[in-house]
Amino acid sequence: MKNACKLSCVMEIVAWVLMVADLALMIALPWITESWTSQPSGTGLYDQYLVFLYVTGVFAELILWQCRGIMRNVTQKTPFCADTVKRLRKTGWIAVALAVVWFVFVLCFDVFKFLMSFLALLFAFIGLVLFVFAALFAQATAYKEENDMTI
Amino acid sequence: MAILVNLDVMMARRKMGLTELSDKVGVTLANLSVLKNNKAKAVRFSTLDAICRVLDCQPGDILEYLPDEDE
Repeated sequence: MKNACKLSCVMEIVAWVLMVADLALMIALPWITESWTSQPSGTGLYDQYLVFLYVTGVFAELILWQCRGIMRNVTQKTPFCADTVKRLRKTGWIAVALAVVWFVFVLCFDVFKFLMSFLALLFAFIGLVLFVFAALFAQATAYKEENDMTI
Repeated sequence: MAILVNLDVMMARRKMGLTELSDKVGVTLANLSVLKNNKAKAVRFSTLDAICRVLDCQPGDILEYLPDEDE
């Protein structure tokens, strides 16, 4: 139990670091994309890369924010609470939304077609698994509440 | 819930405070307070046994069934 709390504390810090790194990358994205694609801004490929990476970056921020909250609940030794259920459900919705956005990109744009199709399927699956986990935690929260109120 | 806990009535009859009862029964003050204020969802037989022993009463003296108004 103590080790789990230590690990969640470390994971919370990692989530924070990743969020800051993601934000920094998003700020530097126009220059990174320009050097990566070897194309100036305003060209088709550059714009497609930029839109794809910005959208992915924003969704990553949202997922990391929810992960940080879940880790905080574990650190505070209250993993089975309504907040964890809400965060798991939100993360599931974000993952499904990201999958949908990537599917739209596959249809509309001409970059990362294979990779994006694979990732879209993967994130759709992860989203559904998170919904199951949210239901599981909701059940566990109800059991815990009943146990807490049994004298 | 149609089950009413009359713990405060029995405590008053026995002239016993919540702290004293908590010490004698071995249940925390917070949990006993939850029980007294009808917030508990269930009572263990072991808890009921200890309360009845300390207060020298029957379970029926502590628990009361009240039919719902719409029944």
